[in-house]
Order: sequence, then C-alpha cells, then structure tokens
Amino acid sequence: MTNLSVPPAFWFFAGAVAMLVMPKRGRPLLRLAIPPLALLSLMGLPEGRHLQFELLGFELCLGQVDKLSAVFGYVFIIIAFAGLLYSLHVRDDSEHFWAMLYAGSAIGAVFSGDLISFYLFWELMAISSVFLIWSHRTPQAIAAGFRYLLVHLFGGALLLAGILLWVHQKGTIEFSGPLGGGGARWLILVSFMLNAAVPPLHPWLPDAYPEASPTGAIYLTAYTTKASVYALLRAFPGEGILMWLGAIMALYGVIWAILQNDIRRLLAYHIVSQVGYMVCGVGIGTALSMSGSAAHAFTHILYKALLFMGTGALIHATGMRKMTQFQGRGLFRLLPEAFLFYMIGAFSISSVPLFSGYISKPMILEAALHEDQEVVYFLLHLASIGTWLCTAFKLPYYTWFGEKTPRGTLRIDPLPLSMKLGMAFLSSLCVLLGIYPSLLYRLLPYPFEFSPYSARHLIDTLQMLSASALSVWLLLGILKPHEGITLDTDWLYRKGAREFVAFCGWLYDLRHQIQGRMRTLVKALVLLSSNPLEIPRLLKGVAPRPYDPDRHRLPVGIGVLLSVLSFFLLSLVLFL
Amino acid sequence: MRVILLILVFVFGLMGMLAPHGHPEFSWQKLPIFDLVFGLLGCALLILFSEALGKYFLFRREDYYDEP
Repeated sequence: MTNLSVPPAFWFFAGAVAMLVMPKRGRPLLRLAIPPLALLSLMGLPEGRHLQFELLGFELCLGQVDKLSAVFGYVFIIIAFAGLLYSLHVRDDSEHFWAMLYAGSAIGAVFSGDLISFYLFWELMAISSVFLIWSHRTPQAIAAGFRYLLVHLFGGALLLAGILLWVHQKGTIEFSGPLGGGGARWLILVSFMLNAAVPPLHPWLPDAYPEASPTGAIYLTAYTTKASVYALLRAFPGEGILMWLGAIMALYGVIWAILQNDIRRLLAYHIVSQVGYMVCGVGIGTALSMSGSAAHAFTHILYKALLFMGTGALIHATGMRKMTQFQGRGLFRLLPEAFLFYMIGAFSISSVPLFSGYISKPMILEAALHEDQEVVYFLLHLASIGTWLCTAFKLPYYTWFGEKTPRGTLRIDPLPLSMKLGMAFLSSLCVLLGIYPSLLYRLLPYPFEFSPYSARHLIDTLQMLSASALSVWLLLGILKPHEGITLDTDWLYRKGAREFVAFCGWLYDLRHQIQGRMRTLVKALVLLSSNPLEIPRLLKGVAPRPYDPDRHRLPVGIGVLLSVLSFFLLSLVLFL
Repeated sequence: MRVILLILVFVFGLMGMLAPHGHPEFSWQKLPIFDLVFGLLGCALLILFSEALGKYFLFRREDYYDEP
C-alpha cells in the first residue's frame, strides 16, 4: 500500500482550496477524487501516533491511529464520498467548499492525538457546518443557522474552558485515553453531550438540520453527533450517567419524532434517538457495548444519510417538505425510486434482518442484558418499536400514499442522475453490511462475541416487527400528521428568553416605582424634620412654610420664665 | 395488508413456540411469544402516549415562534 503520509483530513482541506482555483469544468471530478485519496492515506497509516510536531512547547499529534479512530475515519470518508456524489449536480461551489471543510475537520478531530488540535478541528466543524445550513438561503435557514451557531459556540467555549483547566491540572495535552478525575472533565463531558444532542441539550439538531439544503443536510447528519460519540468513546467509557441519559434519549427522540409533520424534522428526531443507543453503549462500558456503539455509528451514518437523501430528493423535486402537503397526491407514481431507496434506509434504521441496523443495534441491547440492566434494555427496545413505526410506516404512508382521494397531481422536477447514484451507493452498502456483518465486525475496536443471525434472535426480532406493524396498521388513523410544530427545550431560548427579558423589564419598572415612592417619602421626611412646628398645618393639608426664626422661635421671655421656674422647683426639692 | 400482517404475526408466533430457547437469563425470555406481545402493546402504548402528549402539551401553530 502506498504510504501517503499526510493526515487523511489534509486531502479535504487541500481539495477545498484547490477547487476554488481550478477551472469550473474539472471541479466535479476533483471533488470525487478527494475521498479515495483520503482513504488511501488512512490505509497507509499503521496503528500508532504519527505526524507529531512541537508548537509553542506543546507536542501536537495529527495522526493518532488505532482501531477506534480508524473505524470512524473510514465511515467519515465513505459518507463524504456519498454526499459529494449525491450533490454532484449542485452548481453552488460554496456549498461543496464548506462540505469539504466540514468533512475534513470531523476527520481531523477523530485522528487528533492531543486536546489542542482536537479543539481547533471541533470549532472548525461548528463553523463550516453552519454554512451548509445557510446554503439553503431561506429566511428560516438563516435564523436556524444563527441559533445553531450560538449553541455550538457556547459548547465550544465549555470545551475550551475544560481543556484549559485540564491542562492546568494535569500538565499534559495528550488525548488518547479516558479523562479521569477533576472538575475539568465535567466541562468537557457536557460539551461532548451538547454536540451529541443529549437532551435537554439537543434541540439545536431538529431545529437546524431540516432547514439545510437537501444536499447539505447529508453531511450534517453524519459528522457532528458521531464525532461526539467517538469523543465519548475515547474519553468517557463506562460513565454511568451516559447509560441512563442514552436510554432516555433513545425514547425521547422517537416520541417527539412521532409528532412531526416536516419529513426531515421527523428524521432529525430519529438522529437524537439513534445517537441515544450509542451514548448508552458508551455508558454501559463493556467491550460488546462499546464496539456496538462504534458499529451503530458506522451503520447509522450510512442509513441516516440515505434517509435524508430520499427525503431530500422529494424536496428537490417538489419544493415541499411536509406530510400534510404530500398526502394523497400520488407521489408514489411520480417518484418510485426515491421511495425504494428510502425504504432500504427505513428497514436499516429499524434493524430489519438483512439490513445494516440489524447487525449493530442488537449489540448494545444484548450488552445491556449482560450487565443485568433490564430497564435500560426495555427503554431501548421500546424506542426501536418507535423507530419502526415512524420511519417505515408513518412517514412513507403519509408521504408517498395517504388517503385515496387525490388532491390533484404534482408538477415535479426530474431527479438528477447524481442523486440516484448517491442513493444507490448507500443502499447497496446498507444491504451489503446486513448480509456480511463480518465486513464491519473486523473493524471494531474492542473484542467481543456476538452473532446477529442466531435463530432465537431472528425469530424474536421478526415477532416484534410483525406485531408492531399490525399495531400501527390498526392505529394508522391516529398517526395522521398535523399542521403546526411541537414544543421542545429550545422554547427556553426562543420564547423563554423573550419572556425572561420581559420579566426583567417588569422588574426594572418595579424598581423604578419603588425608587419614586422612596424619594417622595424621603422628601416628606426632610420637610418634617426641618420644621416639626408645621405638622399641624401639614395635617390640615396646607403647604408647610419654611422655617423662619421670627415666626417659629419662641420669645426669649418664655425661656427666662422656664429657667426661673425650674430653679424654683429645684430649690424646693433640695431645701425642704 | 391487515390480513398479511395477521398471517405474519401468526407464523412468527408459531415459530417462536417451536424454536428452542437457548439459555434464558430472565424469566420473560422463557415466554416464546414475549416479543410479539411486547411489540403489539408497546407500539400501541407509544402511539397513544405521544399523541396525547402532543395534543395536550406540545402542539403549537406553525408561526408560534414568529409571534411578537
């Protein structure tokens, strides 16, 4: 194997810059050539720490290659290729530029062997991804992009604070194993959880991803959350709180997904749910569960991008994005290929046997049982029913089929060949992995024993899938999509913050009023104490007169009389 | 479709009855059609629970966040 000893991320950065200077005609070919070059350079790097150099007294490392970083590296490169293939028809070169930068920074973060370069790639990931949201150029996309950016800059600030504290406490910037002890790790953990969209820090994801352009959204689904799963696997294996948060997150995602009307928002909530399985696997912390997390990240990136490609194709062809708009318009006759590819993604995410999810998700459930975590197992199991009912029934039924009274047919733009090729590429990978799990299992970081195609497991899965399918079919009417949106924790900064500002205004007014009252009171007291002799007039409601010695002072004679009288009384007491 | 699903449920249920169980670690694993019942009830529960949650707490108008 040729050893192109540059970090795999380098090819993406170089490609992004080269694309800007080369003639327009050659650019598509250049874009497609980048991921294979990166793949070659990754395969050329043996395990170990490579590409180390010193900067300002710190030892940086851009090529930390072990099985954990490699498995994420491979899938990140594959999905970059799929995304670039799918968007080959897009003329907007700025979108491709930011996509390559985004892919490069995610891959760079995964292979960083020190906290400083990890942090720099992490921030670059946030900045480049926001341009993919803005590339849709709608007012909603611009607004959602700003919210996304603010949340991620906050997360980045937490990470930076954590890293600075960590380096101060431990004196090392190496990032190769678990981070243990000290307050710094909590800051780092929260910033990783924010990027992994762990509730209640998750609403940036379903807010922003559905607003991105159909092509830009493909990259978004892959990198930010899964780079966080990688970071959690590296730095926080076996962190108990992650097991519970992950299990709750898996269920939370599907419950909210069931209520969505926007097809890509529905799928975005399923990202939250699916990443929940991975976070839970990190928290369980056994070799099987953590290999399961890595495997699930791998398969999830492929099928989730495929699902977004299928729905993105609809948005590209029709310009519409909601189930209430698609319903009953006979879309199946117009876009059957998008339906076919979408369903392969839906079967994969629902872990139907022979599709990719089936080989990865059960690893995490099995690991939960091995550790006697029955509650976690049932939470995850219930969440997988929700995934199945939503992605394989609700969305496709109300999008491609729906009620039998057609509301007039649609005018659609034909799908470009590149979109079909991108979907076909990922579909074939999903089926390939489902049939040959060993292709993925040999890449996984920790040794484990698990065979997805045991008879019992196969039958149990088929029982669960068929029974819940029957249940959905009976309740399909209740699942009918609604116009409108659902509340989530982003209410806190979208509406709650506004309410808070209004509350602060009210508080300010209150202070102002109290101050005014106090001033009147003080004024009155000043008046009274300057001349108490005017109190009778004041009580009558007549304006008090200022102190005047000639009017208000008693005559001298009275004073003399009083002193003579007191002397008289004193002498009486003393001498009698 | 409903009939096909019913037949499938029946077939997989029967297969569950016939197939031997390896080494059940938990009491519920001994039940040959546990996943069938879990799927049927869990799915209905999820649908009803989330729709109720939406109806009573979560649904808002499309322009909810645009209002001043």
